[in-house]
Amino acid sequence: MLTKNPSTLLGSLLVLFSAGVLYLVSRFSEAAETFRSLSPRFFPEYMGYALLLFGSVIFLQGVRRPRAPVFEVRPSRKSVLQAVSFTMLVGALLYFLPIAGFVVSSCLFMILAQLLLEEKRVLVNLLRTGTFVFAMHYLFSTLLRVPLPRGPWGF
Amino acid sequence: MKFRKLTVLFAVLCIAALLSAPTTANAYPDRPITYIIGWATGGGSDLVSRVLCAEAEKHLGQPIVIVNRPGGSGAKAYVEISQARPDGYTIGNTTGTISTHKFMGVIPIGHEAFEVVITFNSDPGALWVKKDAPWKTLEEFVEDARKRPEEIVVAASNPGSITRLGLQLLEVKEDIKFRIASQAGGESAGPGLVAGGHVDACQAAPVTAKSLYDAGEIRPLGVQSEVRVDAFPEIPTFMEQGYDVVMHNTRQILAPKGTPKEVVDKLYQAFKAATKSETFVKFMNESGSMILDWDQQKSTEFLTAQDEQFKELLQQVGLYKEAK
Amino acid sequence: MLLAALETVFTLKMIALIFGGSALGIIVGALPGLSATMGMALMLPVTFYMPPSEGILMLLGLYTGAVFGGAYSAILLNIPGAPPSVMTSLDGYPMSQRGEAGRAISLATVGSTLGGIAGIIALIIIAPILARFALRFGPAEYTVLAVFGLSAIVAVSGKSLARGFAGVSLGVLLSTVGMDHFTNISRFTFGSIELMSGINFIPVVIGLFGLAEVISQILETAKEGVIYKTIKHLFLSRSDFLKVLKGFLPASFIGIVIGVLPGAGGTIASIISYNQAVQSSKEPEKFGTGIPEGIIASETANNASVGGAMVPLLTLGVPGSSPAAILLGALLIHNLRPGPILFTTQPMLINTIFIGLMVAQFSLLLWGFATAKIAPWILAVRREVMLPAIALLCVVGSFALKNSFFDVGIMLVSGIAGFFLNKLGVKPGTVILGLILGPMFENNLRSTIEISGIAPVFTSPICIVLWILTAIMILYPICRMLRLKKCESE
Repeated sequence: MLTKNPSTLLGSLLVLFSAGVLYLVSRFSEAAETFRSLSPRFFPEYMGYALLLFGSVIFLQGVRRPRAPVFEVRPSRKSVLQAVSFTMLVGALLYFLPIAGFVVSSCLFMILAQLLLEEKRVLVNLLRTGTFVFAMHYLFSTLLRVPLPRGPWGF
Repeated sequence: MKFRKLTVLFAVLCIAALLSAPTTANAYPDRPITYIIGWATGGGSDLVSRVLCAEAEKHLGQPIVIVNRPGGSGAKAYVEISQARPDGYTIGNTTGTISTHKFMGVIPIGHEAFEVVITFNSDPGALWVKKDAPWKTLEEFVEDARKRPEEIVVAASNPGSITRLGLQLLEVKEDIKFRIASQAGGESAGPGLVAGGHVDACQAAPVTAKSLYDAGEIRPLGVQSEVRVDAFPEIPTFMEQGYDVVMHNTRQILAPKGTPKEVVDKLYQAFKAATKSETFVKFMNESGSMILDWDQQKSTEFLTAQDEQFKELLQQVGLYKEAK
Repeated sequence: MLLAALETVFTLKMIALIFGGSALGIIVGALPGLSATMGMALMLPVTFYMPPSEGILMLLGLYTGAVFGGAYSAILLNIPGAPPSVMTSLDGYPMSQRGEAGRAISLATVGSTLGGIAGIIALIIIAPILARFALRFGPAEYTVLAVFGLSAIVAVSGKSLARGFAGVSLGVLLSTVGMDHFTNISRFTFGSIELMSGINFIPVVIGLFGLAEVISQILETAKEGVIYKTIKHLFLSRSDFLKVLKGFLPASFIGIVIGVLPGAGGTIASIISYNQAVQSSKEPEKFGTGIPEGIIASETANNASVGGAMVPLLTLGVPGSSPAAILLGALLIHNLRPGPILFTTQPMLINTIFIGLMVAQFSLLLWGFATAKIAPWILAVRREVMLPAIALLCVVGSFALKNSFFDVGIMLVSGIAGFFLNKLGVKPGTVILGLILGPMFENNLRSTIEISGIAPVFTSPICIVLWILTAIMILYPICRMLRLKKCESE
């Protein structure tokens, strides 16, 4: 019941999260208490309580009236794998940006992402990648003068 | 067949790119310079720096690309500049926080971790009240504060900021206490609060308060510089009125420690010329800010003295933290 | 005088500058991560060597275009290109998913233009009064304003109020991360210097709205590219146009008033305007599904706030928003100090500014309708390249903001978390609401207490008015719900 019902799942996540938040708030430095104004603990603490409260409410709602399941159509195993890999690919892009620079990382990302999403035509893939990365680079770096990360090879 | 050609082309391009990677023997500067500003776009430091850099570009022959890195009143930017390669292609600017952060435990470094290229700007603190406020002179204000400690509400940025330190210096020297309030809108919101009657007075550099001052909404009780400010010759200094309170917020340009002396010199010459440019002078005069052009030696001496002054002041107001 | 100003503005060069500026502004606004402030700051050096009127008018064109441009990516990609367009995506995106992207863009165009014009008229006629009003807003008033804005919870929550509150609490909590600048205490920073400056809300918006949507689309197997309906009339259909006329007055009013306040700009204006539109509508539950009223409320308000932001800038020299601060800089460079003095010493320039701003609004009509037919073609791009391209845009946009990889990381985390939260029923709009209004509420409340204790929050006249409005915003929908239930049970 816990995982099939979005309300209980959400509720329990929120309750756990709020517990973590309240714990962290209690570890805030004491030095602030001397100031006249509202303690810096005030807001985070009450937001923590709010999350606790609403998390419990949502949990109880889930118990009383089971909602529609989370996904209308249960996603296929393949698309779940695709989604996870895609997200990891974005993470890899982030990781390589400072190392390899914008142009190289983005090209690799675009090529691999399209392959992941089943673009079988290699040439089209490369052409799209080239055009898009070039356009982005021109737009940001040249036109708008926003410096994009450079790799050890200067671009 | 077509694929093979593309691959070869790709390989050739890669090799060409690798070969054109910069070598060290070229004259400085041979590519764009990154200038890191530790404050948000559109803020005081940002605008001043942008105008300055636009002028300095011409003397350097390479574009200066400005990057905003707001965070902790410059803390993030200082750390980043100090860790950059000392080749002169990463520089950035400071305000007085370069001397306060390390004494408050925000970051572990101060100006010694850098080569200071130039000091180009200075804004003294000043005290402002509403146009129809009961205090006509600084003396009346101070004496009133003495009679009613912790009652006069003065808006003065946030704890540890240069603005607030300027006010606290007055408190310490005269042994009086105001009710100091922080502003939600940042340093520049102070004058607005005074004009709207929400606070009794505010501490702000003339730059920040000039608009409302010109509009006649607020008036100054005194400015915390050694001599009267050029742009505001009618404002008496604290010292003239018998109060030994001097507080400036200066701006420097930093380069990472170890940057070669020729590079630092070239940067200094370029920025110095920029401070004399018509655009910059017009901008600073209209804003009401003071222009300086101290070289590395003078700047470093100044910063060392500033460190001492702020360290003592921070200890007196209880914000000092032992360095870890 | 007016005639002379008209002559100055209506030269080929000036018109080209204004239109060019606004085109550039639209591009800047449409790209996620870039905002009006950034675009104007980048163009600032260009204005140094132009005569002041030319430079200022170009920047004004940029400002106007950027505030409008955010609507494009909000409608087409669900990513608000600039903060003032957050509310536009709530109804703009569902509309474009139905194939009516062109209609959405046309609505945004007309709404923005009308709102902008209203803002300028207010600027010209009642600027001094508005400026006085702005000065009377102190920390206490901003506190209650934030509460008023937060009452939009009800409008943005969708079906489950509990989830709405949870989302907003989460947003407020996120906004507290960083070094508290009242006391220099670090909150939730785990020793990281990056976290010390807090979590910037733009990467969060990009992640929550953009990346989360991309992930969601990957999971939906074999989704066809959305087929866009060509709009038959180049301009709006008659019923749509009537809706715009109906909605633009309250939205403009809100946009102007909020824009005038330093410290509150287009973003907050569009939030409050959206809330107002929901509450005053006969079918509030339709908001969020793609109805014209939502787009109108948001886009009209944010463009009206441009005129509003110019009020304190020109009358007092105090910028009403960040882009206005750049304008102030541009004026200073030319030895012009805005304020009452400028009105008397440079009436020509002031009139030129007014007329130029008006022209800029009409440039929106041109660009908006020119692109309304073409822009939706983007949606026809196949998903294999569309989704990676959007993801890359999200990454670059989050990076470009502050040149920070950390921000990209935040975007990534928000995207993943946002995807899950969305699936579990927490709407991203609620989190953003908390993230944007949380700091305004907390900081102003603490400032009020430091100045005078909490009393003014309840006693100042402006605050009382705002409290009453807030009460109406919250109680009205509840009354309506109860009345509905009563009708049902009869």
